Amino acid sequence: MILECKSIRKRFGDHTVVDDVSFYIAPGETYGLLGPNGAGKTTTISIVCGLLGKDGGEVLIKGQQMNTGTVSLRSAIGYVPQEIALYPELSARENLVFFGRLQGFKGPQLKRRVDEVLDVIGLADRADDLVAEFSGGMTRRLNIGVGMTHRPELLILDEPTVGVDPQSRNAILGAVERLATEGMAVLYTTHYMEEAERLCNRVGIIDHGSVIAEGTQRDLVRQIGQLDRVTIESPGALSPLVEQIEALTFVSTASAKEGQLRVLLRDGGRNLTRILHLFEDNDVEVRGVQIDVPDLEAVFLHLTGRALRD
Amino acid sequence: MSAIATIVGKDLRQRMRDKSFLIIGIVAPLVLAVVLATVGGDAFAGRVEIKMQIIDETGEFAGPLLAGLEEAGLTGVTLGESELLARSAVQDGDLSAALIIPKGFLTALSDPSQPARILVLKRPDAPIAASVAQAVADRLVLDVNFDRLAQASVRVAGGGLDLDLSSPTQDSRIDLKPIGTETRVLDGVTYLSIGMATFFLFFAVQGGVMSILEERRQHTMQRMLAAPVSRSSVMIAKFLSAGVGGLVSILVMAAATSLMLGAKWGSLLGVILLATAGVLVALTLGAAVGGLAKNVDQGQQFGAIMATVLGLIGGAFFPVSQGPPSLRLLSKVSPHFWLLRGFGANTVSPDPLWPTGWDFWGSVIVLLGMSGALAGIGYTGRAKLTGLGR
Repeated sequence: MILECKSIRKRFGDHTVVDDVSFYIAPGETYGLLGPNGAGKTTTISIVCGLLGKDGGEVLIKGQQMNTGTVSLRSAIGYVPQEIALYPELSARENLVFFGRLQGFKGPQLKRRVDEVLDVIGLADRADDLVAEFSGGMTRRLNIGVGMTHRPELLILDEPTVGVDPQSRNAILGAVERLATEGMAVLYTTHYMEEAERLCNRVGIIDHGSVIAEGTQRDLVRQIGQLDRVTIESPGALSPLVEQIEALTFVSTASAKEGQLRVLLRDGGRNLTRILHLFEDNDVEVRGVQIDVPDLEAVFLHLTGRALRD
Repeated sequence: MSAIATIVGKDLRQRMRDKSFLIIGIVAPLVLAVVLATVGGDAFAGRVEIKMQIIDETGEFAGPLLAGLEEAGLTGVTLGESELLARSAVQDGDLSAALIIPKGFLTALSDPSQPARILVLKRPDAPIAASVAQAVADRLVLDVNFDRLAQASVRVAGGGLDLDLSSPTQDSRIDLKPIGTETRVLDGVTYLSIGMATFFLFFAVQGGVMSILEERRQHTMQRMLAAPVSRSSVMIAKFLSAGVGGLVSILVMAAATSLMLGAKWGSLLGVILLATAGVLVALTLGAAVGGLAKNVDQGQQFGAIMATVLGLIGGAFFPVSQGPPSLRLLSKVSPHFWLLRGFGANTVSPDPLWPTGWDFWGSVIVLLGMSGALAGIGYTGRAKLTGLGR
């Protein structure tokens, strides 16, 4: 394994921010850590990179203990923080050269790597411009480029697409896909379900500092029984309907909350009409209907009762 | 070592591109030194120009008085023709003060029954000239009274000494020259050059130390520490680049003020030694302040306040030896005081190459002690400075 996290824990005062988190990443695998803001993703990554001490558990990089004082193992990691971590008064090339040198690269080898990265992130023609003059998307791409200058065995990307325009986001996701196909292991945190679905071989769903589910997308969807989710919005009294809906044979569960009736059911597209008939029979107005086929968002909602971006 | 050199190189490149470093480290102290030397450099050098006239109706005192005042560094004092003209000139602002020694003043010397009076005309908006004129008058009257007392004593004792009291004694030459070890040994231009250089040295160095907080803010600190570089290497590099910036600042100031203003900094080795000691104090002060600050803005504010207060009480702008005793005592907690004292000793060191004397080496030792104490405070706040916990 390139990375193994075993029961890592971290507290800030009385608040436990990472609680018994365990996962592993094999070489060439892309692992997604999916969770809402404040779930503990960045803290977990900071511990993995040795930037933050842990209160328990262990982090193994290539089978060796990684702590805040461990220096040698860091060359195996390429770290891309959530925030833009670049020097605006230096050019793109100077930023890449600086961080490349810190990784031990120098001379023609460093120059070649920097040129390659500039090509990959599409900034070859702006290489000597100051970062201060770059657009948001360009700085994001350079932010990622710095993390992969030294060809790390494990690339850690912490929400790399936050605040990025769709075109740049697509470019970033494409670059990560290419790196994965070249054999680089990737730890990718996001609260965008579609990014995790597109990139990740396996996903860990993290909430309130704990990994509450882990596996491939198929595994996770299977956990909620591959049921469709129907959400019906209504200003009427929904509670009396819950019992009637749950009595239907194709319905797994139903719940009413804040003007919404949420139903997990088989074959939602075909069976929705029977549920709507019940609304009609009970003279309850329907204002909106949404059907969600099983995805990671549905899994997260099922497991936590909250949407990823709540 | 290579990582340290890489970080220092990057920092220096950033600072060279950052106009604020050039302004704070070199341009501002140089401009201020030039301006202050132009405006008030003569006063620091002990030469004060005042527009004052002496109208000596006795014709006996004016010569020795003018010579005494000139020797004391007062220029612009001239002889006047009459009280009437002097009074008009003071009223019109052509003169700042006038000293009128009436004819009767000479008589008063030999006749104790006659009052010894000198008339002083002053302009309220020229307090320095007024003070000088008053001091001269007081001194003359004091001399007369002293001579009268001596004369009376001789009479009471019944002695037959024949004292010549009919003409002014040598004591009427007024000695306003500074004396004693507490007084400044630097000329005005040198004093201002060194004062400005040490004052802005703290700003230049602390700007470098605060770049640690800036790296935290722009998250590049995390990125550096995620690389295979130890935390201590990163911190050494950051302090090294801040220190190099400070040394460059003070050495450029020394060279520029020597060439442009004729400031005398003394031996180069002495300058380097003292500048290094000063940089160490500035670095550790910056670390201590940075460890207390919540963010880079607060750190810069704390640093600026500390540098300004220490510079003021330490005598960067005016010689504290001329201040009240409480200020002279307080100034000893300021590194600027010891820097100025050390530089002062360096300029008068008999050995042009190797600085000598307790004033120099004592200042270096005190500065190193200060940096040691501040380093202890900075060390306790190191985790806060990097922003990364253990």
